[in-house]
Amino acid sequence: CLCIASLTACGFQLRGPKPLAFKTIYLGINPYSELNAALKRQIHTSGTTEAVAAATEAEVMLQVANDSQEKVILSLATDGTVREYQLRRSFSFRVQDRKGREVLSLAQINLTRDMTFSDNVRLAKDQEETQLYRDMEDDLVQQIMRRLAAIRPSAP
Amino acid sequence: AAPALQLSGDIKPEVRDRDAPTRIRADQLEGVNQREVIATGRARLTHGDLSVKSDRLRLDQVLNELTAEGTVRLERGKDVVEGPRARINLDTYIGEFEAPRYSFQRELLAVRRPQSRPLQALGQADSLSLEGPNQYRLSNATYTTCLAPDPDWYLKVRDLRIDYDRERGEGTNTSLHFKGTPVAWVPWMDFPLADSRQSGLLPPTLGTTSLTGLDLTVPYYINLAPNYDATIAPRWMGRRGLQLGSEFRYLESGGSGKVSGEWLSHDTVTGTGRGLFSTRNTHDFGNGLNAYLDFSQVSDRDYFSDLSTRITSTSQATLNQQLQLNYAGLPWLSSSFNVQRYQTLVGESPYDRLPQVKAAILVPDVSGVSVKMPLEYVKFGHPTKDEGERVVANPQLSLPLRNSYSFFTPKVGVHLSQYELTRRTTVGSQSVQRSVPTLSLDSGLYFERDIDVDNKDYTQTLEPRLFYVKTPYRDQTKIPVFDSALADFNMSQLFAENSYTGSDRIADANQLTSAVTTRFIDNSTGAENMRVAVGQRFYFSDQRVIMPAVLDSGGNVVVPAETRREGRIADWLGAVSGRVARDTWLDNAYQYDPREHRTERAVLALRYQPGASQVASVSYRYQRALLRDLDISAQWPLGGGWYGVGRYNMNLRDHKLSEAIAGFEYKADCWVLRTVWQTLLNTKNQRNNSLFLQIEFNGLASIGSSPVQLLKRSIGGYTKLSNNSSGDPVFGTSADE
Repeated sequence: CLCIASLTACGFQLRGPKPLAFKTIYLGINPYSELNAALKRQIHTSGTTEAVAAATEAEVMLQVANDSQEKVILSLATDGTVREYQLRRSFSFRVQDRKGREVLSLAQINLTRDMTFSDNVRLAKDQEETQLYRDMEDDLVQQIMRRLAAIRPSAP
Repeated sequence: AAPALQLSGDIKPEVRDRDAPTRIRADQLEGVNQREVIATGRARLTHGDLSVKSDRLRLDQVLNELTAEGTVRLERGKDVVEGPRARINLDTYIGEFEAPRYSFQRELLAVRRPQSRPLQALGQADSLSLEGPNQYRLSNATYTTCLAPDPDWYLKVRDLRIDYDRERGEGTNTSLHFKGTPVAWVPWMDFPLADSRQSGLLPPTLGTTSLTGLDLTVPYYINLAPNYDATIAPRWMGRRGLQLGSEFRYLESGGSGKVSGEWLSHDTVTGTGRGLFSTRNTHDFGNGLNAYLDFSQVSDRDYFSDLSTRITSTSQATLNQQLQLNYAGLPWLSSSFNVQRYQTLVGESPYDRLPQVKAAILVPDVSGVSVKMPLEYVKFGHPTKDEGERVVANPQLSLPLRNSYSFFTPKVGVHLSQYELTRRTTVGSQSVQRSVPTLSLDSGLYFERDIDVDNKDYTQTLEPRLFYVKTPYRDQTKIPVFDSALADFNMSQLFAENSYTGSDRIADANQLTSAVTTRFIDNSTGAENMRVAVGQRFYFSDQRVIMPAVLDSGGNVVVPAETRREGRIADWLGAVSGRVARDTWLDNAYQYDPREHRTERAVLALRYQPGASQVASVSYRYQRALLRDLDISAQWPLGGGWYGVGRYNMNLRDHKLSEAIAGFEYKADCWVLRTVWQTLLNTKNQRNNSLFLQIEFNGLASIGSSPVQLLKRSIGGYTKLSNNSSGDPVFGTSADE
């Protein structure tokens, strides 16, 4: 309220550049996936760090421990068919340096989106599902970036 | 849910100590040189990892054979056998033991099964034969992995063979004694010795359901190879007959999949044979090419509602039958070829897509300009409705400008579509074209401040965002609707250009969306702990494009036409989600209609999880004119090894119980008992009530079966009770159960 009207009065400041604590990273994610491409672009926009194609050339390496998605029934209609789904994406990863030391221990990111469903518009709902998974992936990329930004420079 | 498949095999190292020296100690030693040694009084012989203690030992040095009498205690590794008399050949480890008590323990190869624990078994027998370093044969034996002095359960076996090289046990004339009473008998059995992937019986499930009568499933697991397995599950249904179910799974470096089937040759209720075939496979050919196959078919529309107790099956109105190839081998291209149809169980058939071809060209940076061009060709087929082909192209140019604290993205695009129809049942011509341009401006700022919550450093962000869309009106009433519908109104949809999914309707728009998000980020880990967002949209013009009603083949309305929006202000959207306290998670969403002064949608979900096997969740979901639902679930320790499990999913709007589960689990030292009652609404509008009972004997068979799947699916945060403190080695999470 008052805080919003005068952001700086309650300590908010425009976000400054936050360079990552490493210059190069190898992404242990399917190189042909959207996730890899999106993360690569985000890392590139930091201006100081690049995702490299070979693990041996990278200062740190991101390893995926689990990446899964599932669709859970939230509620049924009176005729027993599905009326609501919850879409879930679960992603966990760790980051190691070249010597195999963990610079970021296992980080788990869970995302969910609820979606109403009707078999009468199944094709439309299938596309909506795809869009929501994409929206979750954008969210996921942002959250991975924040986790990477929390990595402190390690001793050489 | 069967155990996880793995890609690599293993070879067990051979351990032999043929040439190890033999040492004997005793109060008194006598013998004939090179012939025999007789040791009496606290006698002890060691040979490699073998050690034998007894009152009297005699070693025949010609045959290298040891005879022991008195109180004999043989130790080899962690195996211990005690009895009054024994004979053993030190070269071959072949020998005999009279009236032994035994305790065997083996470490399993840690590399292969990182989570499995050492395996220990106890028992006694009339006699025991040593048949090699890792083979034992016992006669009239008891066997248990329950390590208590008075075990709750044990097997009584006439002829028991234990082979630690194959990690298998085999017995004839075997009875299972539980609490001193025989509860089951089999003439022959073959069981895994390790708590791991081995062929053998899985815990049977006994139940009764209102649609099938008495219901007994005895699954048998077949471990074909490290990366192949199968399960065969005969299921006896008192009212319907014998069903045979089977599942085959594989995992290869390029892909994985499963094939499953069920067959009931003669359903005594319907008088027909009934079955299911289902397969799901993914394969990655490398270089960005992959394939996906998902195919399910049942013999008749009522198959699941008559025979299944799983909500994921009984709620299905359509079964997917799809083959898709994806190619993303070039950095600027992603493409797919898809053939897809459905088997319809309830209601109207969806459109077939035979085929759908998609290609999207994306060049993220051409001198700062981002170029995107999705292309799609689809041939839609349907038994009664409009049929034909549709081609869509949607070239878009955007100029993303960003720095650390802001972004601004102007974007222009044009949606081009061409329809060529072979059958027209709605009003309009066979051939239709449409082009709709769209302009959008997306912008946002990032503010941050440091705050302190419970003496931990957090960053609070404040992210205001403004999004403007302009799309001119085009008359689309003469265009058929194949794959379009009004999308749910939510935070994701708030920033979409088109309020419809699919390509058949492009909403006219002249609107400004504003939203602000604040996040609480843990500075030490970068984890987002909580998020609050509020959003609103303002319309500069009235809505003209309307989504028409969906009709069935009889002309009846199954989904009513969209109601035209009135007024300038759209609904308010708010959302709060995250970890609000150490063990408490909150997920709330709210949609408010300021014109009518009413709530359009509300979700209140709370989860409290202070520990493993201790979770309670409650959620209330409301959507005006659509749903009002209460969902409560919990797994909670009641003390003394008892746990309560339950779920209550109530449709408050129509006063119908969608699903309810109530049950108990009891965890003793060596076994777990589960009893679960379930009531489920199916698509025949019947209520199927079922009651299941399962006892899991620790170390005998501990691979999940249906009550566990039911509980995992129904109770968010459910943890399977297990005596294995290091976590369950074999019960993988499976998304599709």
